[in-house]
Amino acid sequence: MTDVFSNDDRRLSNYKFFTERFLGSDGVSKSSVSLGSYVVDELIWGFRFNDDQLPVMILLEFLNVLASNIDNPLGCGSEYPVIIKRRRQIRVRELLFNNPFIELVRENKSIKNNNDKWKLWHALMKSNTSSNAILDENIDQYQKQFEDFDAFCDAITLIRGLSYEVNSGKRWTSKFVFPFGIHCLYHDMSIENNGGFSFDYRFFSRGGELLYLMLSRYRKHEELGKLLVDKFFKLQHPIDRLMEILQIEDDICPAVETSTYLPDVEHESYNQIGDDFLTILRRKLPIEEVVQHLLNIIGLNFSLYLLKQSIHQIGVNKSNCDVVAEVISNKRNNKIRKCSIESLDHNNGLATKAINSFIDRITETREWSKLYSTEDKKSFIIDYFHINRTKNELEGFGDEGWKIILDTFKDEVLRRHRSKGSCINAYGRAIGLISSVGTNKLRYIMSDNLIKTLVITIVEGRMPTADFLNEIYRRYRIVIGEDQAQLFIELQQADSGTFAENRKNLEKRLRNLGLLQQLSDSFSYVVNPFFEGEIV
Amino acid sequence: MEIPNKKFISFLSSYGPSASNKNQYDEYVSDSAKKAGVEPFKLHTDFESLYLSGNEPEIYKMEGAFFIVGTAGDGKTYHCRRLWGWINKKQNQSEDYITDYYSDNIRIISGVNGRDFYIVKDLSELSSKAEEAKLIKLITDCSKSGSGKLCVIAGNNGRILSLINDFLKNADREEYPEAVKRADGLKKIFEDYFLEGDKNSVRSDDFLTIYDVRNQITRELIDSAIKQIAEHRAWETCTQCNCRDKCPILKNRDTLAEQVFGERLKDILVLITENGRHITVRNLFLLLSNIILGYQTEDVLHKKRGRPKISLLSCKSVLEDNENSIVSNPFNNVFGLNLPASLRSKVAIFVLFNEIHKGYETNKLIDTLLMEGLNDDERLKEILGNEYESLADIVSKGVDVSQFRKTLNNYLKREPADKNSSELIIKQFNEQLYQQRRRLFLTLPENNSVVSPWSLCILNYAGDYLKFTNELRQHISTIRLQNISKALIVGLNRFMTAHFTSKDTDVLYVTGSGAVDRNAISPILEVKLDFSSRARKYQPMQCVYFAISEDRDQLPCIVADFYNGHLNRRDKCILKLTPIRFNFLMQLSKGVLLSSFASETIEDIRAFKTKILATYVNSVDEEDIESNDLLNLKLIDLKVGKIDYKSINVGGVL
Repeated sequence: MTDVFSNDDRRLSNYKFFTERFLGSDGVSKSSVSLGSYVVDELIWGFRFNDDQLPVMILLEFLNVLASNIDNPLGCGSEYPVIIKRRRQIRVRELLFNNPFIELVRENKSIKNNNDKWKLWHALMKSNTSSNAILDENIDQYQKQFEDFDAFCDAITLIRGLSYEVNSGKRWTSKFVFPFGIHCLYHDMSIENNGGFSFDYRFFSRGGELLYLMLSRYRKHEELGKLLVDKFFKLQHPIDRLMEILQIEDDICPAVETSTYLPDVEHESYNQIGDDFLTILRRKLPIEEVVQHLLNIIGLNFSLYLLKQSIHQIGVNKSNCDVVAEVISNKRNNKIRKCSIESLDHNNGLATKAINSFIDRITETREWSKLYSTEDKKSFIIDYFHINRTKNELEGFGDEGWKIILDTFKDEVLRRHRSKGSCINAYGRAIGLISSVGTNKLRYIMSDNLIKTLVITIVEGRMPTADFLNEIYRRYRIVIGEDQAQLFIELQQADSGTFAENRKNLEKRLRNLGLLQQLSDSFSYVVNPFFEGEIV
Repeated sequence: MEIPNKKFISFLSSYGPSASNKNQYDEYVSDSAKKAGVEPFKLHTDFESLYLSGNEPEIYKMEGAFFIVGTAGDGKTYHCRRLWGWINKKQNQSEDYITDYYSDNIRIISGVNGRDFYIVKDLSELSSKAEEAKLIKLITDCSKSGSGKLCVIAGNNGRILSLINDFLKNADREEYPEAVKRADGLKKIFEDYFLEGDKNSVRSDDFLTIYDVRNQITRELIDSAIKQIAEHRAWETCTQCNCRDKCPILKNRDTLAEQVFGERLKDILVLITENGRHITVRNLFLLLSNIILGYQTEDVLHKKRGRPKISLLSCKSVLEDNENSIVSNPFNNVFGLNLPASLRSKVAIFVLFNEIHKGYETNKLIDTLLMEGLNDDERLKEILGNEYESLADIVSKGVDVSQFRKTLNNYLKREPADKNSSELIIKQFNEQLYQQRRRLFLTLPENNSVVSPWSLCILNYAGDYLKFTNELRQHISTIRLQNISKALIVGLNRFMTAHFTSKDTDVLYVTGSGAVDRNAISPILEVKLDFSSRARKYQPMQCVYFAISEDRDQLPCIVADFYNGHLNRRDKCILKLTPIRFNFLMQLSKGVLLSSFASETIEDIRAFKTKILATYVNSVDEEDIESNDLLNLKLIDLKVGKIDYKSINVGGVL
């Protein structure tokens, strides 16, 4: 039988996974929703991108997978499945994020004796019903390890200060420490009603697994895998050691297979993100800065990957995914602003078009060309997309009835797609590529933070500014100056002067960031201060 | 009526600002010198002695390419013309020479002392990509041992690099492999030379000589320019002029010749160049010409709209000014305030001057002095002590003081109830006050112990900077140098740790970054560097010290030096202390942080910190870290104004 699962002409290595997952072992769906609507998104982009998972969480999830495969990092190539050993590490997480008592005890002036402090704190922890990871014997161990209770407090406060969103309202099982090393890694979890924990996919919604798959399919995956392990896990950072001590013993689940799916075996985006990772990891930068730039690169490349996959469905000649980015300066450039709002709107609309194209392609199959009656077409569509019969068979009367069925199906898919929000907006905002600053609409901008990452990633020592602008266009489709904006100028969306002004604003930003050297005749160089002494 | 010095004044004004900017061109100025019959101003450079003098001039030994580089107005054409004249002279001594064109804008003179000279007077005159490619091929051709050919090219630095880059992008690599290879080599050399800061202004090796006319603006050169203008022989003829007693031109010239004024100008120019901004020789002359000849035209005085005009004083306008209505204030002229704002913003030198001093920078004492110094104020006498006399003298005598006195009176007596007139009075008063501050900024001697003229500009610590730099360059160690060094270390400590230490003058503490938040700073002490006086710098240890940069900028810098005895490796992180960065750190050490500071400064120092952290990690033996079973974390804290750290010791076998 020909169906949507087999329609993908690209090599679908884990096709089996998909059919089993969605059709069940007996091949019959019990859901009231059309089965096929679950897979269109995944077949186009992969399983799964979610706007709740920002680049930080993608990186942390990725590092968890990497840590699970430390002996053969990024070694799976284009094969499935990927193995993950989920790290729970409940004890240290409780100490850090579910422990309001240390300050209480420390600030209680009436207790002078060190032992009393430990005792009181432990009693308080025990009284906290959700807490059960810290055992009596652990307290003894901590007492042996730390000079006194105050030192223990200091350590905890210190790590809290180096964690993401400590003061946010997130549940404590979704708070994360900066990835100084392997002991700082653990999986997102939810708290069950009975007080237990279960792995959760709210913030770890497989974006990190997708990143792992992408980098495994990168042409230099072995080299990158080794470098990643070296940079994150080899030399132990003091904070990592501290985390190890606080956790006392690792709490890791046995290996399981993940059920991620990434359609293409090869993709230019995989190589781009891989190259970018490799470059940043080789720069002479402390780990804190490295992570900052990796996050930006993830957000940027993920956005671009999503757009490129859409374009692939729509047809390369039919659309583009250029990113017109406004460089903000004290002199407002309204024309650029308009262009950048339009380009974001356009890019956000690509996914819908891609889904429509994907579904419409049924009419291009060989089987379709042999169908003549409306009824045959209807049943072909229903079988092809595994459309729920009870709901849809009744609709679609008349000669064009098959169209109604197809349209209803499209609506269903789009509804599901839209319910996941816009990843492009979410990633863009997280990395400073999208903002509504100064307007009431979202648009593409160039933040200082992102500019820095681009310079550090692209520039080997130095580079003429014109080349730099061409390169950010070639790599990431970011349009800044008049040379990159030919398309928009031809369409008369703005004149070349508008883009030239935008380019000058970027040059000004670069200069303010200490990343530009001006020569005469408006010829300038972008310089990367962190290039020297590259670690090879 | 007889106008004795008309020609010279008109010649001087050809150097001044003009709407057409034609004085940017050497040809224009040399023409007007000829017309006026005046010897043009000449600045001493080593060009002649380096290449053209002696029995066997250097230029005869050279093959390949000889680049005279700089930016517009540096004097490239001037040098090229001198070379041209020199060759022509030589040519006339021999008979078998040919002058011809190699292409539209490449001239060729053959047979001079048996060699061929190709000359490109101005690279930006090359008309097409084809001619540019032709030039690269020509250079390649000349760069062969025994070619006997030298290609002399005058060009702006950006133009040279864009030409080479364009060629490399478009050239057919297979057709011209040699030229591409040569262009690749040139690209690398020029990029290093222009962007990395070479030690010398002359760079020479096989088949390539670069003579950079860019950084000619030294203290000596400025001095010589001021002297040439202010002490030019032509001024003597002014003594025969009827107007000599009331002539604003002469008054302005006298101001320029004053010692404090001249020194201050030099200081400002040096500060601007050391901040990495470029001042050309042409800019310098424009400034000096404008100081003498600038005046408030009707347009500027009444802020007229319409097409702005530039006009400078001439002998005629002075003679015809029977009512003494010409307003010419040399202190305003320094900042180009005699020009309409729209034109001022196009003249680089005035933009740079106005960046340093905006008129708002002042302090209470200075403003009190300006206002009360006119009257015999007893309290002020008490505060200023011995300095009172001389300071009050400067304040009360000078251009426009009477005007200021008048507006001050109006200001004090104004009726706040009458809104319109009172607003006007306040505005007038402010303008006058800015003007007096400007005058003070340019005339206040530095040797008084109470008021620093540098308080009147954005670089409050410029005076310290100049002395500090001078002493470092001369290897003099004074108490002042030590005190400034200490203050800088305090400022750096505050930047690196975000703790408001005031006593840490001998150690530099560097903490980690906030990891999850770029703007936060972690309390973990990562690196501790002892401050070392320069004498100790070669000791094998990690330390921080001040030195002078080894490139041609010769700027003071902070060096963080990591020595690993085990590997016998020395890694250095260097932060050049430009006047802006110096000022930033000094202000930080005094607890002042102005919002007007460009983020550039902060980013640069932040990058320095990042480099220190990365270099430190690199400089430590991996074995040292791995063998460290006991965990020792140092957390910094502030105790009685001093950074203190406590350790968290964790360890032992679990």
